Amino acid sequence: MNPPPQTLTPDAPEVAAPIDADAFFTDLLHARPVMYGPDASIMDGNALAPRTALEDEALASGVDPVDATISQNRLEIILESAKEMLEQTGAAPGAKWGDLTTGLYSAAGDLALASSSGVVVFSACASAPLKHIVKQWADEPTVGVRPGDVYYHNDARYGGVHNADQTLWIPIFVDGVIIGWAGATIHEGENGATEPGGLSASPLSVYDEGLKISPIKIAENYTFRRDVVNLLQNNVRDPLMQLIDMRAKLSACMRIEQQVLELVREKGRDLVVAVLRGALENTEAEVRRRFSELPDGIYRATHFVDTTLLEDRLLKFGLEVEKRHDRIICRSVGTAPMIPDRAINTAPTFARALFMNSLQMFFWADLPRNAGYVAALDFEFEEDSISTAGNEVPNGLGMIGACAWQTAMHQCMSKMAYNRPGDIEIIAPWYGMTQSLYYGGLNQWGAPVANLMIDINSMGGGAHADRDGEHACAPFFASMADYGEIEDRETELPVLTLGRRLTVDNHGPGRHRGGSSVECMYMVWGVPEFFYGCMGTGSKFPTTPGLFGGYGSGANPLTVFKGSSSEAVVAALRDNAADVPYTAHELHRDGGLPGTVESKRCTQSADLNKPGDMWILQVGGGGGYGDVLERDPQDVMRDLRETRISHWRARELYKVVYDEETLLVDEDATTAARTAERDARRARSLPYDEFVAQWRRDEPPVGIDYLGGWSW
Amino acid sequence: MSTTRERITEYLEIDLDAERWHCRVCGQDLGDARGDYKRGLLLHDRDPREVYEAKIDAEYSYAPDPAWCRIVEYCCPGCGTQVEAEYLPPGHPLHRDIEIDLDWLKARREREGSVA
Repeated sequence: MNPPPQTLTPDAPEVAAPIDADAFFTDLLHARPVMYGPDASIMDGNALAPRTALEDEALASGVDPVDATISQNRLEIILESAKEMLEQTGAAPGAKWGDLTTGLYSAAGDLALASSSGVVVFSACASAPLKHIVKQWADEPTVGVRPGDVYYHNDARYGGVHNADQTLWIPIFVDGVIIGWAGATIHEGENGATEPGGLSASPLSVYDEGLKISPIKIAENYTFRRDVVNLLQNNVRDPLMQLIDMRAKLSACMRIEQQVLELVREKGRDLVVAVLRGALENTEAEVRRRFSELPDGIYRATHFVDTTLLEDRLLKFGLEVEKRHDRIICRSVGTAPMIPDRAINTAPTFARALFMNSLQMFFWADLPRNAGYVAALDFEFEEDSISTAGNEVPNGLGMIGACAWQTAMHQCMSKMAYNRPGDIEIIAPWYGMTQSLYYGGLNQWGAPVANLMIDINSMGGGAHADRDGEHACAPFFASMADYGEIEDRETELPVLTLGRRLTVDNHGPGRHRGGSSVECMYMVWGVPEFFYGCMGTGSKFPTTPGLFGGYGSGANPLTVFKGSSSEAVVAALRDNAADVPYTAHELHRDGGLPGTVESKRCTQSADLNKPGDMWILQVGGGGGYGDVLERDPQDVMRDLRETRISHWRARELYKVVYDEETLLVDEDATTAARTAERDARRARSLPYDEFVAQWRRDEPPVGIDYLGGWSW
Repeated sequence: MSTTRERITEYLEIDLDAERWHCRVCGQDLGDARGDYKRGLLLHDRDPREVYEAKIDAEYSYAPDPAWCRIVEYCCPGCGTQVEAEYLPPGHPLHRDIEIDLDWLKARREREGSVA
């Protein structure tokens, strides 16, 4: 017999007080605002918050500079340790392989110190949502900020990169006063958008992009509200990952808080407050001082993105950097307009972060990763451009376009800094795009999975002024990130990795060549069906230029193989292993597997694939440095031995004369060939005015859908 | 080389007294340093498939699409050294990428008494 039903409310409910109808309707009609949307005073600026009374007091308290320096180092080690902890405990691929950050924020919300590894751009855009919490919720009677409270966010309209990233913060109280905040961000990926994996190409509106968490309190007394967690889990395809990583981030933040409070007990509150404020102000001042040593002038670079995500179009990103004394103004000039129904737009906080990324990753990486960096820059963005998108347009894949900013800034800064590099190492642009596969479905264990392959982290490095670039080294936004283990991936996903190798000719040639990156061949296996999508640009127009006469990386389309049947593909792999292609080029050229093969635009919306189907993508290489005819012929032969380049490139571009069997160089013939090529260059070229008369068009070419300025 | 020359890029320098651009490889005079150095170079519109081999015969060939992207190559008229390679859609305005403040460079020389 079933037990008798239990009442859920054992005590009779209290009788509610009568409603004051007039007060209720007055409040309903006149209460403002209707909602707390993104605050323009936060989103439109990049200056540090003014000093608080607490900060004034702390800085005036006579903190010993040596003590402050040692303590700052200790706080950075605390953050690095917490980041390592997060990497070990997090579930998302982004957590495991370095797309994450831990940070200490000032009481007003500026990111003051961050882990020394991890994603750099957060130092320029993760302050905004916390500033929203401080401004809107601290004194809001239904929210407030109390010890043990936990806040959360992923909506880029309030700051941050995009809604694939989720950040958690907790306030750090000392004697009832907030002295700062601990924060942790992970690229979680899956976010419940129209496609699985968190990087959807297909959203036509902001409401197609899935989970958009405006800054919100999700826990009290360090304990998540299970109903709120459930709400978040209910809106994504991988609820286990959502839960694990929320817990991991809270643990990391609590560890940071615990260790900061230990420092407070040892050294006092003023010292910690002074260190956080000092880090911000000193960083801004030092960036400005370093700028003041570089030549005044105006520097320009323009890049083109060849997709809107859903079709081929050419989008212009024009940059003009004006440097006067210690002031840098970054202007977007002729940049493509916002596209209201494509997810390639970015909010201005993220666009500003990418300008800063170039400086922090490639020019002055020794300074603390904090909001002082971007505070040292001024921006003049065109209204309603693709990089100043409004709140009603999708932005989940905004980095596909906005990556162009960091490359353009890199070029401008290199040309500014070459005159007096000092500690700056002049490097050609790093591969500047986030080429990667995303996926979703049930895995071979029956569990829901949706996220991205972390090949994004295997970008090729730019060539240095005195040596070649590094292969598959790191992404341009996180120097210590990794791109994961194949075995680990195959354990978690219904995917066989048939090949992952450095690709021939996959970098920018030059006197010193850029580093190559990988080509990955992923075959669905072990489940009836599985979704793949892909994001990136550069199928028609290269994303990454070279420097000082060096060439950029080439084009990187996607290759899609549809097996005639899984049995036929398995039979081919088993019976003809020697003939199985291991690159997209071999597959196109030689076949060897039963099915159809096609090259496509590298951004593809998620598509259903069967066992035996394969997607092959290339991550791009870095830009080349200097004239190709100055490359040491023996370095060209080494590239051939290591299969980094083709014979075609050695002959046609580097103009080396050699024996293809022995790779012995004919030095005299090479010198003659290169002299002839220099003569040929001059013969086929025209003086500036004659060239312009022939080259100039008053509008974009017919047949190319072009967005952006075009004026002579 | 004159001691009044400032290096500006890998292949370009400026004679501060004469206010002239020069090639750092061969010393070729490239024009007024208050103007665009590109005006002193030779220009060529390069089909990108001459730099990047088209691996397959398809719309997405693993080489840039020449209808979308051209490489404007700039070489020194004196020695043929390739000074810049600019990636542009066909017919797009050329960039004045460096507009360095000559007076700032001169003032620094006066202040510091040295040349980079």
